Amino acid sequence: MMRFSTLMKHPADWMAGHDETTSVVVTSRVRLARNLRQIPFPGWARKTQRQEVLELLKTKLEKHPAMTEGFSHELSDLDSLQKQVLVERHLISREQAARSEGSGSVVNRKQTLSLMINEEDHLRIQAIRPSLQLKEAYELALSIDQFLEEHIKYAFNGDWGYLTACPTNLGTGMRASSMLHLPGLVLSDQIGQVLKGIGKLGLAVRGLYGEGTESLGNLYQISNQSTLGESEEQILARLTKVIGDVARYELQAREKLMQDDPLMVRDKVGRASGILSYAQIIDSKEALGQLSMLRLGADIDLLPAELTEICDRLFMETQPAHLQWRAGNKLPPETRDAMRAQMIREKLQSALPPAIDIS
Amino acid sequence: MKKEQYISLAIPVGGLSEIPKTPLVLAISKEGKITLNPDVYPEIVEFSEGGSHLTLLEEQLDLLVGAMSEELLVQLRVTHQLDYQRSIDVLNCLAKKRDQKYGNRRSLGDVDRIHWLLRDQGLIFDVPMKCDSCEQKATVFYTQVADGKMKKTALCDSCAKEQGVTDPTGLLMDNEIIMGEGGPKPVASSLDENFPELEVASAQSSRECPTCSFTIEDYQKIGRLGCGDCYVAFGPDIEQRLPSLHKGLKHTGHFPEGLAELEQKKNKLEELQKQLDQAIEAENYEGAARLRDELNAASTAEIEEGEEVSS
Repeated sequence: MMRFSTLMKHPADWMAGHDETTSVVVTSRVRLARNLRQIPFPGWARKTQRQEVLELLKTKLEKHPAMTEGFSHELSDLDSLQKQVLVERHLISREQAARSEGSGSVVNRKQTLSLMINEEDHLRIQAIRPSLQLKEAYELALSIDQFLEEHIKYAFNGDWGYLTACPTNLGTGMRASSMLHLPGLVLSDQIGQVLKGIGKLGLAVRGLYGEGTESLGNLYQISNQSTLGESEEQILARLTKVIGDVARYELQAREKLMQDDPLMVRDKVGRASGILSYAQIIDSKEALGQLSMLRLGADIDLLPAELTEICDRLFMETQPAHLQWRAGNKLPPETRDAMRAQMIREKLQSALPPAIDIS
Repeated sequence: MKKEQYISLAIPVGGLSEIPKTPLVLAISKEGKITLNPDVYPEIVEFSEGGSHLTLLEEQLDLLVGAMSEELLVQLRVTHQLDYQRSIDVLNCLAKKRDQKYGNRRSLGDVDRIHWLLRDQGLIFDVPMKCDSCEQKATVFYTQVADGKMKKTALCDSCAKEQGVTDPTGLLMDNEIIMGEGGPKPVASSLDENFPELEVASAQSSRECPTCSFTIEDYQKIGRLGCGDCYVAFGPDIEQRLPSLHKGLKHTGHFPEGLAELEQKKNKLEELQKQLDQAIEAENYEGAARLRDELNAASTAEIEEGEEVSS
């Protein structure tokens, strides 16, 4: 069994290994909602029923080959900081973090599969892959789904598909999303238009952890809303097409910015390098914004390419719970801001030469 | 720049008590965007799109309410170009959290309070809204309040006529909240036969899911169901309220192992039955007899297998 501290020491599989394909689409996630037949959904079940479901699913899931040496815990065994860390890593949802008794989390060693037991539904199977790989993520999630199918009976109906606690997930029970880094569209003021267009296509857009403005790292999640009336393949194909289009617009926007106003882009990237290399106090909002500019610099070859991965790790590791977990206790915001600045400086020291020439 | 005109109201999520320490501030922009802590560390918790279920806000509140031992006080800010609908949705969401935490399903006194506050400031009557059924401008508004949960409907003239909602009656109650462009509409008192659906809904009100005792009122309150069998128990009610964001009404995706064949059989049975009905209608008795035998044979097989799967 993997300990919490071991989980923390290792970056998720999808954070490592970057190429051009991850320069816009950072990750792809697919989550499947499943419930057991004739057992009340977690929100309506008695505590004993929830415990039974947890026991049953946890035991079965731990037996899956992919889950050996994984992480498996009841949420009530974790403190609030640990839960918050898992939220920041996208391994459990915020909703699940607020639940405790009878709720559990099973994560594989590579952190590509995360199984949430007794969240809103009895089981949510989530798979994460780097770049635009929604289909691959779906297949990964499906492998767990099909493994479980042999052992348990799902709540399912021929007309309405997988029956879920909330009718918004009815049908496939599938929510697929990609996280996109869109600084080019934000800097060129086209982001509003693009987001509006995505909304019109019946897809949802949200920020990194639900919050989202250009100042929060220019990170956006695009996901499907409809789960009924379309097959998984249709949803994934539609989503993949739209996300591919958005990624192309982003690359075009970056190119155009570099043609029309290269000085402005260089200035933004240069300032970000300066601030992040020398700041002593930095809050998470500013850090996300500056890291976004640094990542842009690396993606358009103004800065060393290895910075992309460093930025992605810092996006996560400078989040409040991660910082506090590392420090070993809860910290007031001011202390966190100083710690964050120090951590960023240290990480950037090796990758960014002290006097960088980005002209 | 136009000065932001807003009202603030502290709404305790939880039992009532004295006035707040620091309330949680929720600002609703004129586009319907909901921002948490707009002054300190703004976090957009809902974008403009989406329906009345504020899932992101709910997630936020779950975390906050779950983490807090004392009650949470919420201050709601609304600009003068107010989206009334949105603020009611926020209030519903808050009330739901309060109910979940304290288990008391009280009526939403706060909704009435905020409604009056808004109206006193002349904020609610110039809200252009779209019809629920089409994209036309809505002219008929009504709100049904049952067990503390509000169901809001906005329709344009022609859709209202089409659906027989030209005359919101006492059944829809809460005259205070019935409003139109020119102010509250006159409310007739006669019960009207044009509301068969609503009558059906009230007649069914005591129905429970045989598996988990969940009721349709519970669904209206919390927007979630009790168990998979609730979908069978409340099928038509759920279908009526199925989120419009879905592309269709029938599942066309993945089937669990073994169930796909079962579904094919079921479709075949339905097809045979249809053909049989047509044959009888056409007085083709020879064909009907053959179809009947085929149907009998197929349905016996289906029942046996169906029992095996559902046991």
